Formats: sequence, C-alpha cells, structure tokens
Amino acid sequence: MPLSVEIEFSGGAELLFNKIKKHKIELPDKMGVANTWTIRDLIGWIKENLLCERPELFVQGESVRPGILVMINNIDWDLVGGLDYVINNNDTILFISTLHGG
Amino acid sequence: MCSVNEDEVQEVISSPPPLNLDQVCMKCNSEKAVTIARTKDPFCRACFDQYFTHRFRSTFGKSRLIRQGEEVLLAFSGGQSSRVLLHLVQEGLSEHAVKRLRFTPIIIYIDEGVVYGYASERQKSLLKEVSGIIAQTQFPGYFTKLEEVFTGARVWPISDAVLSAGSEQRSKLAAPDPTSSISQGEMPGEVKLKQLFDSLKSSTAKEDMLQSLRRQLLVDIAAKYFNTGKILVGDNATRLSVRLLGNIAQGRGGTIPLDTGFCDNRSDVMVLRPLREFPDSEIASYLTLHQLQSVDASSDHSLPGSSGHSIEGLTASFVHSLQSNFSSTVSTIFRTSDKLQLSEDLVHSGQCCPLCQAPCEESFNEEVFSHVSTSGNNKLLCYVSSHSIGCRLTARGTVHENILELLLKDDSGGSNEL
Ligand SMILES: [Zn+2]
Ligand SMILES: [Zn+2]
Repeated sequence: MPLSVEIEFSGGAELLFNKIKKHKIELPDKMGVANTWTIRDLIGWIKENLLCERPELFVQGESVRPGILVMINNIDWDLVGGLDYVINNNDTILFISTLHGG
Repeated sequence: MCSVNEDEVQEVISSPPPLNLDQVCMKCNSEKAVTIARTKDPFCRACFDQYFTHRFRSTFGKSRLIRQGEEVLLAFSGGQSSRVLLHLVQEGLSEHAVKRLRFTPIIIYIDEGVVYGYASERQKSLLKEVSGIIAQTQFPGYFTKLEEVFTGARVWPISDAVLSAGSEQRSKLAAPDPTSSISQGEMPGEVKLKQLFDSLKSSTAKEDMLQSLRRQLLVDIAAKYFNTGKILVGDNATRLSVRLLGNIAQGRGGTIPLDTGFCDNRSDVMVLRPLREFPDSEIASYLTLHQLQSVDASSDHSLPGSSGHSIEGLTASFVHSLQSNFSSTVSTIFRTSDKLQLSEDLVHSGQCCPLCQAPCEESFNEEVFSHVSTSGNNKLLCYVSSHSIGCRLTARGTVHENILELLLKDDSGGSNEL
C-alpha cells in the first residue's frame, strides 16, 4: 500500500521547491524489498521528484545539508532515529533551513 | 533541582536511540521529548519553553542595561531569529508573563531588496508579509530601506505598507508612495546603493558592506528618529560563531568582543543581542513548536552577483558541517568569544572607523590612506592592527564616490567614544 505523507519546507528551503511550502505526496510500494521507507529513502526521493533547483543547497550525500533541521510529527528527528526513522502513513515531515536570515 | 545523573544522560545519548521509540524529557522525566537543546538534552515542549524563556530573560537580566519604560528599537528582518525575538518580547510584555519585561519596543524592518536585486513586486510582497506580522503584535512598527543610509534615514509606519496591500490601484495614483523612489533630480538612493554594491569586487566585500550599512542605518534611525539608545537584534549563537571565525579571517579579530558580545557599544546607540546564547537549531525548534511564520528572503546566504564563496559563506558552511558531526561545535566556539576583551588601546583610542564604526588604534600607517582615499579624505577605515584588513579590504578598489559620501558623512548618529 502506498504511504501518504505530508512534507513541509520552511525557513527558505521552500524556495528550492517552487516556493511551495506544503506537499502532500504518496510514496509508492517498493518492488521486491521490504516495504519500508526511511527518511534516508525519502530524501533521495525528494531529490529525484520534488527538488526544482540547486540540489546542493538541500542534499548532501544521503542526508540533508548541514543546517537543515528535520522534524517528524513535530519531533526532532534525532530523537526518533534520524535517517533510519521508518515512515508511517500520514506522517508530517518538516524540513526547516536555518542557513540565513536574522 | 534540575540536576540529573550525568552518566545516565551520557548513556542514553551514546547508544543509538531505538528506532521510532519515544524518548522522555530529561527535565520532567515524564513527558515525551520533542526537541533537543543544550547540545544533547531531550526536552518536552513545556520544559523546552521554560528553558528558552528563562535563558532569554537571564541574558537580559544579567545586563541590567534597559531601564523601566525605556523605548527600545527591535530590528525585525522577518527571518527566524528576529521572528523568535519578536515573539519572546511579546510574550515577556504580556500580562501573563511571570516576570514581565518592562521596556517599550518599537519594531523596524529594513527593506534590502535593492542589494538582493529583487524586482519591486517581490520587494513589496516581502514588505507586506513582514508588515502583517508586525501589525499583529500591536507594537508600533516602521519600515525603512537600506538606501536610506544615503538619504537621511527616513522611516515610514508599516500601516502604509499594510494599507497599500489591499489597494494597489489607489496607491499608484496617490502620492508619494513610500515603496517607490521619491527623490527627484538628485540621484536616488537606490541607484547609489546599487552602484556601490556593483563596484564591490568580492562576495566578502559585499556581505561586509551590507553589515556595516545595516548597522549605520539602524543606529542613525534609533538616534535621529526615535531618540533611543538601544537596538535589539536577533543574532544567534550559530551566527555569532560564524562571525567570530569570519572576523578573524578578515582581520577584524581586534573587535570581536563588540561584534559578538551581548552589548555592542561602539557607538552611542547600543546594539544588544538577547538571543546570542541560542544556536540556530533551538531557534528553529522554538519557531516550529510555536508555529511562527518567518519570512525568508533568500534560499541561501549569498548575495546576487557573488559566488557565495565569501569568507562569511564559507565559514558558515564550515561551522554547519562541523556542527552536524560534533554537536558542541557552536557552543565551544561561542564560549571562546566570551573570554575575549577589547584591548585597552582600542578602548581609549578615540578614533573610529567611519564604515563599521569600530574603534581603531591611533597609530596607523600612511598606507591606509593610499588604499581607500581618493579626494583627500582624511578619515581612516578600521585599522585595528598593522595586519588588519577589515573595512580597508572591503573598500579597496571602490573608488566610487558613493562610498566616500558615506565615509564623509556626519557622525551625528554614532560617536567615537566608547
Ligand atoms: Zn519535560
Ligand atoms: Zn571598519
């Protein structure tokens, strides 16, 4: 069953996504492997499917660029497993850039 | 009361957290943790708020700089830090605050669109967004434009911006619209500003110039327009750590205490940094937990026409990547800055740089002049030591008259005495 997830970008990160802050997305079933999506997978998916410009301002390696904070259902991702967090149906995942602005 | 067995905390952190399992707040030990503060401490929402407000208040309280009922300018860019600052001040002044703050804030926004090369539509919509946030606070709010450093530091009430939001047509007919250029005949400030930035060669120079002009304008406005001696700004610990390292690289090591401390008193008008102890991750957490909207003008901190590889930009990337691997990076850099003091020579020099207004050593080298001055300008750009570059480098190659105009400007806004 595909996962339905709400993704939100803020703090200027939305400017890399056509200035759209909220995205409702469906993560498709994975073929063959265990059907789990981690945040690591999601970041790769975002890079391929949502990112409009300058990926280096959002992605670094398999994670987000340092300075971008990730909140999963309003909880700091480091508290729930970081990149290894397994996404549940209807999760809300927020990427907030702290890289500028005072 | 707040103490916790250090070893226990360490253990929780060092073993990888079980996946998707809830961690408990280290302070109340009962609620689910939602955020991490002080580098490694899991906090629940209520305890985080309490920690945050307490730390904010103690930064203020320790200084005892603001008198009861005093009017204070709050510089609001719409960005995350100043958004949090605005909210903390609002909460602190509200009736339900435990220990109420006692000053009267006046909010000021600087439109820097010309420097960023924004189309006027973009500039206007940013202004409206920011004005909307300020209007909600009920505090008196004003806006200005960076080019006002050339044209007498004028300000306009934000109600002008809010009004014109609903009546675009009318404001085009009505004169004069503060969001468009006013001066006739003389070269408009925005043209001067644009020329000045175009003439600066490096990204570092542009960012450095932006900071100096912003500061000059705020100080001018505080003194001339509002007759107040204090400005609150949103600089946070991460930003200040970047500035500390960046300033050393730029030859501004001598004035780090002014550039990163709580109170910057290089001019008569003091610049205060009540958020200086919060790293940007905590600022972002506060913003998210309180569902505050910030207005973010750019997707990264490089100015247009610059490579993004300025000393400040590179230092920021460096600090952020280091921070992501070593979570105490910012606090370590930051604690270092607290140990630094201005040298006695600087404190008593009585000379100050006309661009960044930092104090300069009296003994300076003739060479300084040959770098910056064209028309016998006898003011010196900051030259804090024989190795310093600072403003000298920023202004080098800029023989543009606009910069001379700035340098030769009256010092009425800020004076040299510390
Ligand atoms: Zn708690
Ligand atoms: Zn200077």
